[in-house]
Formats: sequence, C-alpha cells, structure tokens
Amino acid sequence: MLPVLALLTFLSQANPAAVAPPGIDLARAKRVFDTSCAGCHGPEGRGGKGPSLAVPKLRHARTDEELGQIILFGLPGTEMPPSWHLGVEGVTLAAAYVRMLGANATPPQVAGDVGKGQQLFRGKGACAGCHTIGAEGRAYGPDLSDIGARRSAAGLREALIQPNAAAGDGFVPVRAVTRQGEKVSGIRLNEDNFTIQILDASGRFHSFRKSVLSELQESPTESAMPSYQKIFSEGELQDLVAYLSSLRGEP
Amino acid sequence: MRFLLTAACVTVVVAAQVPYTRIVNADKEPQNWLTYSRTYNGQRYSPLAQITPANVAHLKPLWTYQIEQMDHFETTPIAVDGILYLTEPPDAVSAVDARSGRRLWRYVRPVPADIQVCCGRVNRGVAILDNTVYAGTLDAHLLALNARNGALEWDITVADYKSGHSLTGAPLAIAGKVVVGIAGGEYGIRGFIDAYDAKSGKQLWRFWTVPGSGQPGNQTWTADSWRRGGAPAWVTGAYDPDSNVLYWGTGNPGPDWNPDGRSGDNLYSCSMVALDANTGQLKWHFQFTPHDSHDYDSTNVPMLMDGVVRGQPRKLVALANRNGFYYLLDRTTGEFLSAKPYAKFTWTTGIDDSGRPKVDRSMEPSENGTLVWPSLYGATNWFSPSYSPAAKLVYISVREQSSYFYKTQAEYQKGAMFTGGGERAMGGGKASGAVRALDALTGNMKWEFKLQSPPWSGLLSTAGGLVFGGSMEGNFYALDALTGKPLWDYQTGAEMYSNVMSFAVDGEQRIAVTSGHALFVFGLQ
Repeated sequence: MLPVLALLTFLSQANPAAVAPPGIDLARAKRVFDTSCAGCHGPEGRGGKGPSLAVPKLRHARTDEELGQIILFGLPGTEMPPSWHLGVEGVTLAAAYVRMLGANATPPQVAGDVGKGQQLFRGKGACAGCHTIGAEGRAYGPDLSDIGARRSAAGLREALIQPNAAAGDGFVPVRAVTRQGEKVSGIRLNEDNFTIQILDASGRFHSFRKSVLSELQESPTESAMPSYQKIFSEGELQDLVAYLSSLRGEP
Repeated sequence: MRFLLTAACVTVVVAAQVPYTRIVNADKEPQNWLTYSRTYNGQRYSPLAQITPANVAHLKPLWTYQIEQMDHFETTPIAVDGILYLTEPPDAVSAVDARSGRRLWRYVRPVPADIQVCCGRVNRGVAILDNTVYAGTLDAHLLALNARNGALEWDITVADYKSGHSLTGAPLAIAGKVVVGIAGGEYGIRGFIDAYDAKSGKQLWRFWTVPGSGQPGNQTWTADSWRRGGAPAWVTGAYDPDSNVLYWGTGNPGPDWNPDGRSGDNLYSCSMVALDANTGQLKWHFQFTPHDSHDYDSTNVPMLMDGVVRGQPRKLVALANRNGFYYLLDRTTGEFLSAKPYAKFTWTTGIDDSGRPKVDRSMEPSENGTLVWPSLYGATNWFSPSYSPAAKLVYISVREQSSYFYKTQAEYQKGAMFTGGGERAMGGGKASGAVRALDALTGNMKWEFKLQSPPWSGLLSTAGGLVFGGSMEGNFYALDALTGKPLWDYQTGAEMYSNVMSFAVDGEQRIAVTSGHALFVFGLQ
C-alpha cells in the first residue's frame, strides 16, 4: 500500500517549530536537499529547471506546513513531484534547508536591460505570437506571466537556446492525419485512450476520435519553440532573460 | 431467458433473503451479484449475455449515483433482486434502487478524525447473508446492518485503529460466518484473517498471517520482528464451498523497504494461505515473494478454476500477482505449477522450478534510490482480474511502471508509519498500462489492449463475449473478449478507481462501474 495520508497527518499534527528546529543537523539536511531537490532546483537552490528556492518568500509555501505539504505531495499542475518517500524526517530536513536558503538569500542579480528585453519579446522575437503575459499575447505555448518566479535566469537562457531540453509532459507537439487526408499539426491539449485534443499554431482547436486518424505522431521530447541562439545576439539574449526574470505574476 | 423473467417476479418482494445456498448457486441467478467477485471462485465473470459485440455500440448511461465525499469510490455494488448495496467512502453504507438510482436507505457512521490509513479513506464494498449487510470500517469495526432499512444489528471492534489497523476490503460471507482480512501493513501491525458468527458478531477464529512464538514459520523472522511483521490481508479472498477452504492473499512484511531487521523468508507475508473455513487452520501456504523489500503485496483476488496442466486434471487457484507474475497452484495441495511474467520486472531474474524467485539483490531499496520494475503500485493491484470460463482467458489490468525505492531507518512507534523507506514512481511518458488476456492454463498472452497510463480499474468479462474496464483518463470501455478489439467507450469525466460488475433488472442487462465520485449504470438503448 502507499503511505501518504498518514505522513500528512504527522506533519499537520507536528509542532510548527519542528519543521525548522534550531538543532537541525545541517549536513544531513544538505544531503537530503542535494539528493532529492537540487536536481531541478539547482545547487544551493539557485534554480535550474525548477524555480530558485534561494528567495525570501516562496509563492506556494508561505507557511512551513504548506512547504511540507508541497514536498510531500508535489504541486499539481507543475513538474514538482511528490516526495513522500523522504518520510517525516526527510521532509522536515528538506523544508528546514529550503527555509535556510531563503533566509540567506540575496536578491537575484540578472544582467541585461529589462526594457530592451520587453521590446525584443514583442518585436524581433515575436514571442507574444505564442506566449501570453497577463492579457497580452496568443495562448499557444506556456503562459509566462510568472515565469521569473518559476525559472532561474540560467534555466530561461537554456530554454531559449535549447528548447528541447526544457520540453516537459505539457505542450507536446503532435501531428495527426485523418483518413480523409486532413493534416493537423499543433500542440496536444489533452488525450485519452480514444480521443485527442489539439491546438494548431493558428489558434484553431481540433478534437478527433483516434479511430478516424490514419497517423498520429507525438514528440514528447521536443519543443514546438525554435532555438533563439542564432536569432538573438548575446546581448539581446541577456536583455530578454532579464525581462523574463522580472515577470513574477504581479501586475 | 427464463432467469430474466424470474428476476422481474422476485423484485415484487421488498428485499429478499439471501441464504448461503443462493450465493453458492449464484450461477442460477445471473441477474444478481451476491458476493464481491459475484461467485465464491473469484472469477468476476457475468453469465449475462444480452450485451454482445454486435450491440454494445448502443450501450448508454441510464443513471448516475453520486457520493458526497471526495475520497476514491472503489466499491463493487452487491445486486439483490433489484436493489444495489454499496459502501460510500469514508463511512456510509447505502441501498439504491437498481432501476432508478434512487437511494432507499443510508447508514452513516462517522470515522474518527485520527484514523491511520496509508492510502486513502476507501472501502471496496459489502457482503450480504440472509437479511443482513456486512461492512468493515476504517477504524477496524465490522458492522451488521438490516438489509431492509439499514438499521444497525451489531457493531464489533475487530482491532484497535489507533495502532494502524483498518478494514478496507469487502467482507466475505459464507455459511453462518463473515470473514474479514485486516489492513495496515505500513504501521507495524501483525496481520490476520478473522471469521465472525454472522448472527451475533462473536469471533469464531483468527488466523495470524504472521505466526507467533513457537508456531511453525515463526523461525523465518529475526528475534521478535514478527510482532510488527505486517502481512495484512486487505483484499477479499476466494472460497471453495466443496472443500470448505478459503484462499486469501497476504501483503508485505513490515517494515516495507528496510528488511535488515527481519532476515528470513518472513512467513506468511506476500503469500497465499488456504484456510479451513470452520477452524481457520492453515491447510497450506505458498509464498510468492519471500523476504519482500518492494511492497509487492500478494493481496490480489485469487481465481479458482479447474483444468488440465501438463496432462493432469487439477483443481487450480490462479493469481495475477503484484510482483509481475501470473501463478498457477494446485488448490488442493498448494503445489506450485507455473509462474509466467505478464509485465516488465527487474526485481528478480526469474522464478525457479519450485516457484521461488531468483531475487536480484542489487535491486534492493537504497539510500539514494534504486530504480526497479514494477513500481510500488505493482504490475497490478487490488482491482480485480477476471476469468472467462467461456474464453478460457484471464484478463489483467496491467501497470507498466517503475519506481525509485528508498531505504531509511525504521523505528516502531504505535500508530506511526513503519516503512523503513519509500518510493517514487516514474510517471508521465515513462509509464503506461494495458489490459492483457492470458491463456488461463499457460499464462501465454493472447492479446493486449494498450492504455495511456497505468490503470486503477478492475475488469469484468461476460458471457456476451465482452471485457469491460476503465482508465485513469476516464475512459470506460468494452473490448471483444476474444480479440481485445475496442468496441465501445464512454468518457466518465474522472480518474477511475473501480471494479466493474453486471446485473439485470426487468430482464435487461446492466453494467455498473464507479468513476470519480459517482456510480454509473449502463444499459442498451
């Protein structure tokens, strides 16, 4: 069987102070963090594929109990997986370490010009053709309204240069051909055993019974986004990353 | 169609007596579903044949019954003469009109706030005998309710819930007795299977799935590790009325993932036990996974069948085990006959001629995690397989998934998790599912129907030539029982943690399944 609920019960019953007790074994906490968290959140939580944790405030984990629950259960709708295997002690150690990283945080220094980056986003990069920021832009790829809070500068830069490296389970590029010969390319919105829902690049929505398709190709390890390595100069990349890093979901 | 006419007449009576003889002869009234797997042999096969590959395209939802809580709804309804009896998580038992879906009565008994259940506040159904409905509770009580109005007849404590004991499976009612298996293998409990007098609730016997000091098998545990040895029995077993023997699967030894403190085979964990139903005495046991360290419970529904194996006619018991192998045993002697993999596995290099796995020690849980197939959830789990005596095929809902298995220290504390580690299952594109049809006697795969992701839904096969199952994407579907070809599907709108069943009212076949927090009932239109 799967021990999950009980761990949460432990956690919620635990003395709140127990999440970051003064006598925590820092070396063990670091080891838990390094083996279970740093893979996505980067060394010392400076961010990678996952957001930086070396920040004074965590948006989803305002309280220690919330932080413990997120470590334990993951964050639905994101790539943060559940880590109930850590057990009460491991979760406590990991949470304490994350809080310590936050307490020692210095504001992220991202080189580049935010204003110029915004112009590149709207102009040369044509990024708003696929991404939304607040009410602006077309919804084809991921919404970027709070991307600066979710991705480190290094992670954003990597996604621009090597989009495939940032491809996840969402936004899978698909190509479908119906038995009548109609061809549709786009990103997968959803799929079950018998149907698939696709958004094409023009913004048109398609829903198919799989039985009407003669071909269905899915590329989960690819991104629909082109690489910007050759489109932008080094300075322009820096400006764009600075702009994206400034997007924190706060209008 | 004579039985169907009979059904229409019987329903004039408000609620029928269900003596033991009716359950033994369940095949004489295929319009009803009188015990967890319909028949004592655990086959989950319906002789109803009105819905067929030719007309299943006209299957439509007729009514839906919704529960009021957000817990997984895993019940198998019991159908008796036009009334469905079911459990609603976390703490209710209901009777519902099988024609309209309207509730007739509901008994609610709030569960304590401090219950310890590792894996959700779930319950898989009731048992019925004579005029009484039986249900286990999350705080490890056994309830007897009047089938006519839901009034409480008795309520007994099976075990102390504060030490992590609970009841999640449907009880099994046999002649004069109600049999239950305890859950709580993640809490350092000592597992057992109990029988209670159906009229009074008095305990008749207890079989400890971990033998006590001085008992045979106790030497397979280090020191007093047996006291916290686990081996729960949380999925309903099968029963052979001719020999009066119960067949029951047992779960993981405790602590789950750190086996260092319990060297030895750890009997009778991850085993099948055959028990004399009168006394609870052990007739034989077979251990599928000795000294388990991957939580490969053998708590799968045993399927009793007869057949010729290597030229010899045998009374058989088959089990599609969570560890990825399909086993055939002689159910009279417990003799191992065969084990065939039906899913990807890496925890062992194979099974030897005696049925013992050749365990790969490099696949043991470790501090930094060891990637092993199948995952902690197993190649299958509690949800039922099905055996069609017409097709001679066993149908299994298969999970193709791996996990990182972690090992930590385990320290026993009453009511606290005692697992010695944990696991992280690989999801997304790294996991998938399937329905696989195996030749029941050889284990050879006849066909497979691929699923988008690992399922949590059991299967039903029917005399109409169909297999019904569900997916985590909400698809409820019908497959051709001989070819696996999908013939019909319906989007139920939620993840399906379910077991499919079938009944008939007014001569019309129905198919029932839970999805999300609702029970859907389908019929031809």
